[in-house]
Amino acid sequence: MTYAGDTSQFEISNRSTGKPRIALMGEFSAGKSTLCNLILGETVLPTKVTATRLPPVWVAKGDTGPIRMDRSGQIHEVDLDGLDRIRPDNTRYIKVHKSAELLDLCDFVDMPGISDPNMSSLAWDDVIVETDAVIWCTHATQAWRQSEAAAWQSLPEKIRDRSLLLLTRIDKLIAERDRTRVLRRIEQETAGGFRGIYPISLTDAMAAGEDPDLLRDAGAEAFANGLVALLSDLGSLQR
Amino acid sequence: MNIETDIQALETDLAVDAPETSFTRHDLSALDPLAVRQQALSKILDDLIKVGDRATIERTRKLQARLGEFEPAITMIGQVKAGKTSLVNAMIGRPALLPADVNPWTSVVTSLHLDPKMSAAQNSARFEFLDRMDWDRLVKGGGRIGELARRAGAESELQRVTDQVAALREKSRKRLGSKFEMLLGQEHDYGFFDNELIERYVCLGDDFEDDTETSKDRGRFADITKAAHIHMAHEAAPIKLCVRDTPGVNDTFLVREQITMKAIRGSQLCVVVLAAHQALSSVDMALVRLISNLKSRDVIIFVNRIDELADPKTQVPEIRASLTETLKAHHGPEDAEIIFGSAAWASHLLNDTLTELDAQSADALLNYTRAQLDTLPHGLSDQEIVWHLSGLSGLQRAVANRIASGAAETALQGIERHVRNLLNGIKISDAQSGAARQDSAPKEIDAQSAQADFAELEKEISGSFETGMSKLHTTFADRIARVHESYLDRATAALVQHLETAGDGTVWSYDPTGLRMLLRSSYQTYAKRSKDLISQVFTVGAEDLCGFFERVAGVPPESFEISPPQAAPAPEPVVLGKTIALDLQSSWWATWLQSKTSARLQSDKFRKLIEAETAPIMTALLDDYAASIRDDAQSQLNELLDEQRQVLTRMTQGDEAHFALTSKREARIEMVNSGLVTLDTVFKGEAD
Ligand SMILES: Nc1nc2c(ncn2[C@@H]2O[C@H](COP(=O)(O)OP(=O)(O)OP(=O)(O)O)[C@@H](O)[C@H]2O)c(=O)[nH]1
Ligand SMILES: Nc1nc2c(ncn2[C@@H]2O[C@H](COP(=O)(O)OP(=O)(O)O)[C@@H](O)[C@H]2O)c(=O)[nH]1
Ligand SMILES: [Mg+2]
Ligand SMILES: [Mg+2]
Repeated sequence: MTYAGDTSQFEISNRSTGKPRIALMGEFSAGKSTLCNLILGETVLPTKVTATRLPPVWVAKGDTGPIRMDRSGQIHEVDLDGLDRIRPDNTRYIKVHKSAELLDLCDFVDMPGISDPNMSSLAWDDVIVETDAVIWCTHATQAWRQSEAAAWQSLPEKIRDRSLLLLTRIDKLIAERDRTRVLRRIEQETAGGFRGIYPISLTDAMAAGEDPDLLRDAGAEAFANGLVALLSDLGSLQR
Repeated sequence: MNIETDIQALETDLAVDAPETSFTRHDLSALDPLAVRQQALSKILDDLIKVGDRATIERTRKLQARLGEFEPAITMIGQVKAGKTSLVNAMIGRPALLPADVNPWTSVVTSLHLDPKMSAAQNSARFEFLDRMDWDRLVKGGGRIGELARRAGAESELQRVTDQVAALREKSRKRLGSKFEMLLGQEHDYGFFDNELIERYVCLGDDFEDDTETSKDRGRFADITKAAHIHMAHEAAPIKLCVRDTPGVNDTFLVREQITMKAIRGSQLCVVVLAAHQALSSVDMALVRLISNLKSRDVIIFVNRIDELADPKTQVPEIRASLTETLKAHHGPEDAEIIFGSAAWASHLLNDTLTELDAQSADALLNYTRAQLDTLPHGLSDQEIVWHLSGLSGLQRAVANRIASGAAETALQGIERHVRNLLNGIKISDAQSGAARQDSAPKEIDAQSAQADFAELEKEISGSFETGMSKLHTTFADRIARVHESYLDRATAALVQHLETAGDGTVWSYDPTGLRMLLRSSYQTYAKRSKDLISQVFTVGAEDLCGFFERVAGVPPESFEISPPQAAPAPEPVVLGKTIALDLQSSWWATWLQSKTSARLQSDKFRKLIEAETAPIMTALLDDYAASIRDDAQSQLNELLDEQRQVLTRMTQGDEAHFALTSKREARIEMVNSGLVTLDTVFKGEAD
């Protein structure tokens, strides 16, 4: 169904809210959608171990129902339960409205995986230019492949300087020594290119609920602090 | 002599050798028949040495050597950190042998040569360093990646590569001293190996400070090492096997792409190792390209790390479906067998540390056990169940089955035919030259004219081979030249159209898949036709040779048989998977395509570029792949002719040699007859 009301709020180029926009990027299955769900405090996005073939999902504060922006600029109402039926090739992005507190400070865009062989990542360049910072998710066990380094390098420098790197699935590196070794290597390879690097277990953080000890152990606390500092630098905390 | 008991004895020998503790032994049992055949051949050849004349002994030694080289190879390729090395270690039952790590690690193609007959005291290792030429190409031009970047005009890539190479050189200088380049082209040999020794050569080592003791020596030689060979005693293998670990797609400068391709070409089987949580992404397309030039039956896909899945029961089928879809969409080997498993479970089992599995891994194991319960064989012990669920059992069974029914089987049969011909030749010349003939006196042979006749026949057979092959070769060369030309035309036209119609900033690329597919099918046609021709020449040649012996020496055709050699399987055109500029991310091309020169000029430049990139593939197809089919067949044919010339010589030879022969005649006749019966028994069911 085509949307009938005010459509300007659905234009990604409309920056009138003044809120920074944070893109979640990385390879498929790196945990972008899991992170998004963690931040929102509810399961909004489908997560699965194979590539989720979704267009970018823009999440912002609000109570309007979800819509889909097609490639010709038409806006369609969509059903959240039917997200995975949306065909990425004729969709620029999906916009979802939620009430999570963090959304007062910024919007999030859950991007498709960069290396899904069945989907070209170039199709989303026009969405990326409308974002201000990136949270890059990389599997701790296969972290920072050349393809990731290359894709990251191709982002505008302005965005890169504000980006955070999450080493997700850190729960799969059990020995402390292994974690350190991976972290050291990534620090060395990214050579200060990120504002911060955060090892994190998204699933442990999900399961932690409100328990501060568990959240700390999962790496969520350090990441939350990093994110707050980023948002503060982006100016959204002052307003 | 009782043949049946002999064979039974061989079989029990094999069974007794097997260590009780090894899971592997059972999984590889499909190789037992090969072992029986190999040992039967080996015994016949040993016996022949005792009773043969000089020429026979010489020939026998050659066949012994060939039999000794019989070592089917399996190559592991795969994603970075998929667990290739851990899997190799689990397969040979030594979880800590090759160095594995959480960071990118293996940097050298490492061949483990497993030998059931060797003792551990004979273990040895050899490490070969890169050639001067490879190294120069790397440091001067940034290797193959530098060449690609330069051709694609990707300035920033080129800069990145140049920087990385400089860093690499500096690292090697630090590790090995300023004269390290003197090592190039050399090798290091050791009469033993251990984990620490191997670590010095085959793993990357750390670029960052790590304060452990061993870290300084790790990877000391890695950047200049080309290949590692570990020879080790391994009772659990019924026959010699070679298992190769590779850096796979973990190769920064594509220096070793060629080496990896060579490894694949020299292997009977490729195991493609993927990580369950990210099975096949677009980074892995180089991998798919490599394997899509192999037959599905020569590829096994192992999806490792299922212990890391939260719910293997439902996720494994999901991953399988997604993999199949991706392989299909990208013209990969979609029918390849897919096995799921976990090298981690297998290692814990082998180390007897299953109780130390972390909670999630243990949950996954339980979850997967429930899912697989119905498919498990009955009566397994708990440990055997884990071995099954780890996928190692399935992997080894699959490996053994493919080897037993594939090229390795054909290779053994090839040797068998030569042994058979040798035995038949001796039999018939003994009959001819001696008193063993009961019914009729042998026909008197005029040696000189017989030799001349033979030469004539030889010329005829070789002639028909050469004419036929050269015609096929020319047709093939013409065909791929046309394919190449028309691809260049189409690609250039597409570019011109793009430049004329699209604005700056839009990205353009031209998919080389079409070229690869056309080249592949041209090659396959050539391979098929040459196989037909070769088989025809061999069969007719063998018949003509029989006819010759009947004509010249009155050998009744029913008492003499010449087995024609079997045309060797054509090498799969792995070279088609070589990464070329067009495969690279289109971002590389961005600046190049936005250059302001005219469309005409740009397209000329483009054409030259693709031509330069694809020409080496064309050359390899013709001068390497196609030529090797021809040359292999040529040497098989020469061998057949030499073999039979030998028979003729024995029939007509002078008194002295004859005397030597006579003294062992009784033993020989008995040996030859029993040898032939053994061959019939052991190789029965051979498809002809
Ligand atoms: N959980 C889990 N870990 C595994 C498995 N297989 C390997 N690992 C671990 O993952 C890491 C990488 O394993 P390797 O065997 O070095 O991987 P590789 O594919 O050889 O890596 P490169 O040679 O660097 O390409 C090591 O820390 C292994 O212990 C598995 O099935 N499950
Ligand atoms: N163990 C573990 N699993 C994770 C973690 N993050 C994500 N996953 C799992 O990885 C899979 C892919 O996650 P998803 O968010 O869909 O990845 P996306 O493609 O980047 O959006 C899901 O099955 C998640 O449950 C983590 O930190 N630890
Ligand atoms: Mg997702
Ligand atoms: Mg390895």
